[in-house]
This record gives sequence, C-alpha cells and structure tokens, in this order.
Amino acid sequence: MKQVNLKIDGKDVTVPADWTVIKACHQNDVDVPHYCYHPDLSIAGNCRICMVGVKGMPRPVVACAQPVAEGMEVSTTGKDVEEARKGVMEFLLINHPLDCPECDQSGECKLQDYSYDHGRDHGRFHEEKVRKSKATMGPHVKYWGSRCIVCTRCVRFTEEVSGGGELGVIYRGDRSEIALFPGKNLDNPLSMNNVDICPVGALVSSDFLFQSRVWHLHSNPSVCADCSVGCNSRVDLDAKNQIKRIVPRQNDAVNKSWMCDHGRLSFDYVHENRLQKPKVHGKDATWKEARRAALDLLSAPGSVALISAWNTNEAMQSIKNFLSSENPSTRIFGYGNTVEADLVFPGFTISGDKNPNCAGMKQVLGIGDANASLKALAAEKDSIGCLLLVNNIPNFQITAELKSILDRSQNVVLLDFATGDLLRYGNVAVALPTLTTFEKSGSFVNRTGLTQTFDAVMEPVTYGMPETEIVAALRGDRVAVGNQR
Amino acid sequence: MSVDMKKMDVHPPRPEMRPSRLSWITRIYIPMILKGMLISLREFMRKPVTIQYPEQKPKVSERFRGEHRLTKDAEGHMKCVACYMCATACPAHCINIEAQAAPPEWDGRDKIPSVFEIDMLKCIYCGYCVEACPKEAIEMTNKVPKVYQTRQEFIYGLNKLLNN
Repeated sequence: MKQVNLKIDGKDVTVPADWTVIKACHQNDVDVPHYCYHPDLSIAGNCRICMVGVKGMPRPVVACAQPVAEGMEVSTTGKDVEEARKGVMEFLLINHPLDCPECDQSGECKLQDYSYDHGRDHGRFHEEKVRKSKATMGPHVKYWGSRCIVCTRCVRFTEEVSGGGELGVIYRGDRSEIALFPGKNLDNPLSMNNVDICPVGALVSSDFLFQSRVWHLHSNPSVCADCSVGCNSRVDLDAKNQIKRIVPRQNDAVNKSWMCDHGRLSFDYVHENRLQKPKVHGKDATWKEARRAALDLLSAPGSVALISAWNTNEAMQSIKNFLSSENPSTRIFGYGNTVEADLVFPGFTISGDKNPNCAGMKQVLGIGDANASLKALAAEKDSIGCLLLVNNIPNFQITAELKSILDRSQNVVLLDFATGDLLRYGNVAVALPTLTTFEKSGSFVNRTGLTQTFDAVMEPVTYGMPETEIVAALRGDRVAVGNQR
Repeated sequence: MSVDMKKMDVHPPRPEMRPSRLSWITRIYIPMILKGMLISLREFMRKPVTIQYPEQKPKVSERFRGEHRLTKDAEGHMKCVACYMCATACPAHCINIEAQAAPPEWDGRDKIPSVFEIDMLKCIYCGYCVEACPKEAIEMTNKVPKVYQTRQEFIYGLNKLLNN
C-alpha cells in the first residue's frame, strides 16, 4: 500500500494511504473522541464528536470519515475543534436522562468521559426531555431507549458481523431510537457484543444487570477456553474473588473485538460444584496421602493415561514427562468434547470444536484427533491396570465410550476440578483437585496454530493445584506445599 | 533469624525527653497534694457535667451527625437507587449494598437495593455518604448511636434504616 506523510498536532507521521484521519491519530497515540466510529465496523460518521481541524479546510471535519492525504496538517486541539465538540456534547445530552446512578454503564461510559473532557459544566436545556421506550431485545440484551445516542454501532454490527440484521433505527430527529424489526429477536450467539460496542448505557447485558458497579471490579487478561478459536478475553472480578463478567479484548489476529455469548457466560463452573480437596476412595485426604495412593496405583502394569483437549500444553507435557520416567509402558490417549459444525457469521466464526487445545494436543502428545484416539482405546478389550484421567472439561458428561473404558480399568486416578459425573462414577480410587483455566497459567494452541499464553486471573477457590504442580508433587519435589493447602 | 545487636542503630534519648530537675517545694509533695485536694473539693460542690449514658441521652445540636436514615419519596417508596455512591465514598467501608430490579409498578424506577447494611461499629459518622448521595436518599438523624449486646445488632439493615 502506498504511504502518505502527514502532520498530526505538529508531529510528522507516515501511514498507509487508505487510512482515515482518526485511525492515523489513534495509531500514533493521539486521542480523538468518538462514539459511532469502531475500528472493526463500517464508517457511519453520524455522531460528529470526532471533529478535527485540517489546515486549508474552512471548518472542522469528522476524522472518522476523512481519508488521509499527502501533506495534510491535522490539529486535534484548538478553539474551533473544542467548540465543535462542546456543541455536539450539548446536543447529545439534551434528551439524555442523566440516570447515571442507576445505569450499569456509568464508570465506563463514553458520554461521561467526553462530557468531562469536552462538555460544559451545566445544561442549558429547560424543556421537557423526550422519553423513549424500554425493551428486552433478546435473552441477554436489554434496551434503555432514553440513554441511546443513535450512533448505530449496534445496527451496523448486526448487519456486518452477526449478519442477522435484527436492529434498525425507527422514527426521526430527536425521537429516533433503535428497535427490533417486527418478528425478530436479538437472540443470535453474538448478541452480547452489542452491549460492548454500545458507547452509552442503552444496550446493557441482562446477565450483568445491577450486579456490580464497574469501578468496584478489577480486570485481568485471559484467553477463552470454550472453543478452538481462543478469543482474547478480559475477566472482571469483584472484591470477593467472584467472576462477574467476561468481555473480549481486541486482537486482530484472533477475534478482532468480538466474542460469542457462550464464552462470556460460561464461568459458573468456577464457583459451583468444585472438588475442594484430594479424595482417596471417596474420602477427603491430605495431599500427602493422596500422592502416596496415586503413586502406588500409577505404577501398575498396563496403565493408560487419558488426557482431555481442555488441558494446557504445560499440563500435557509435564504428565507425559512424568509417565515416561515413572512408568514408561503407559500409553497416552486423548479425548475431548464432540466436534460440531462451525457457526459462520459474516464477520466472525464460532468454532464447532468445543475444546481449546486440540492443536496443542497434536503438537505435544502427537494425537491428531482426540475423539478418534478415544474410540481406538474404547475398541480395545484388554483390562486397564490404572487409568490416569486428566479431565478439566467443565460440565462434562460421560460418553458411552468413556464408560466402557472406565468399566474395564481396575483403578482410576482422576485429575479434575469439579465434583461431576466422573467422580460419582464408581471406581475412582484417587481424585486430585486441579484448577480451572481462570485460576492457573498456561498456553493453548488455537486452530490457526497460534500459541496463546495466559495467566491466572484470580485466586484459586479450592485447595487444588495446576497439573504441573501436581506432577511436581507426585515426583516428590514439593510434597510439603500441597500437604498444608 | 538472629539480629546483630552491634549493628543496630541505637540513639541516645533526645535532650527534651530527659526529666528536668524539680524544685525542692515540688519534691516535698505536700503543697501539691493540698492544691489537688482543693480542686477536687471545688468540683465536688458543682453540678456534674457527665450524664448516665446510655440510660440518659445527651442533648445534641440539630446538625449533629448521628445514626443514618434512608428517606422515602411522596409515594412512600425508598428514594435509594442502589448506585453505590455512598459505599464508594465511605472511608470506613461500612456500607454493604446489593442491588435488584425495582418492582414494575414503581414508575420511572429501575433499580433498588435488596440489601442495604451499615455497620455502625465501623462507621465513623463522617457524613460522606450523605454528601455523595445523588438522590438525597440517605441522611443523618441526630439520634445518638445506640448500644447493643452483640455485634450483629450493630449492623443496621434496610428496614431499620428506613424507619430510623
């Protein structure tokens, strides 16, 4: 692409010729306020807050719709620009209800931020404000019409990314608002992205509604484990170490700015039905006792390790290393959630492979197809000495194949974070508590072959340990640590 | 871990900390004892300034910052919208709020608290919550903080605060 040279606030920059002024500014760390502009959506140019001055132009222009040109001189400050933004802010707030105390967006609201930066300190509007409708748009999205500034980000999202085109603008002028087309419902699997891109509190999540004020949350970056896309996410926790919501982080190589509803909402398993302590034959035990019991069982001849595709590369590698030194005859198989067809939207694809690390399993363990590997093991008839089952799949349900394998193994050593079906199923001799992906660090390889590392976002809620530490404890390196926890 | 005492920095007492030399009249004590007894005698004759709290309550000014009250609007609904401003402003972290959706028949209201607790033992009665409230939903009465037998009783809930 041809490059052009321009000046932004006196600084010389060189950008590709097809960029807009706002993109050139943002890429060069110059802040330009914006509501309707979104880097992953088409340009609408309707909010008019991104006014910048361009030398030679008689009045400020909107930076989001202005292409860059050779020799352009852009100023993002100045009397003209500030006055234009002040005017825009005043118009936007004319019909805004100013119900910030009740609004979930307050604290991360662009109207609040820009009003503080560019607006005036009092309103001059004395007439009655227009009251607009309140509606439930879909299972996860609620709409507060009065707060809406009609930036049409959500309308463009449903047209360009989710593709359903459920939303549109109805009425004219100051009465215009967002509404569903007749007979439609905002129930697509990407609906909660509308909540994120809404710069004000007009579209809010019904799952996060009234849960917490955003300034009481603390955020940590993570990687979503719910499918093989590996969306980059941000996990918001409250002071009580409870996950309150998950929102996407922008990564153009993986998920742009989007994330599916399933990935955002599947965190209940972190706080419910957790395996708190090691168990030996169904009774709570200390890590020391559990370690001894597990080591005895794992040395049995004809042992098999069954590792799910929900485990991190580090967990797989450490278990592989441990088995090759302790009991080299142990064979390793893989399994995972069943693979369905991909859900393809115009701007986003939700993988049908509901395992985060099938590609990593291929790299680390050399198992190309996890479920084919399980089938191969299920087809065998020999009795299994000890089955080392490393599950870590949330809400896992035992399949017929796994059942047949469990039935013909004399003992099962289970590594799992939940007290699910597997633990209840008869012959689990030793169960060692692990941690969910939110509580440990590691890496997943997504389906494009990108290795993504992540750190723990929260304190562990149980006495569990990550698989790498469990292996270290089994080896005897760190027995004392687990013993007291 | 052992500490090497020789390496520790020990300062001599500062000059103003040393006791000054007393005069002989102070050292024989008797004039000072007489002086003290005279003061005791004078106070014994006067009306006492203390009161028998908690049986007796002190008279306080109209602007006294006492126990909190949650106010109600003209329809008798609580004004509080569970915005957490008071809890955010509170320097003692004594306010615990949990929010819920308002009943549909409350016109124009979205959010109300389901739990509103003030721990009166933690509260320092600074009045920042009143200052922070955007809805004038919390105010301070001139009721002097009460005394209870258990810690649990000091945590005032929604009902108690609304009827305080």
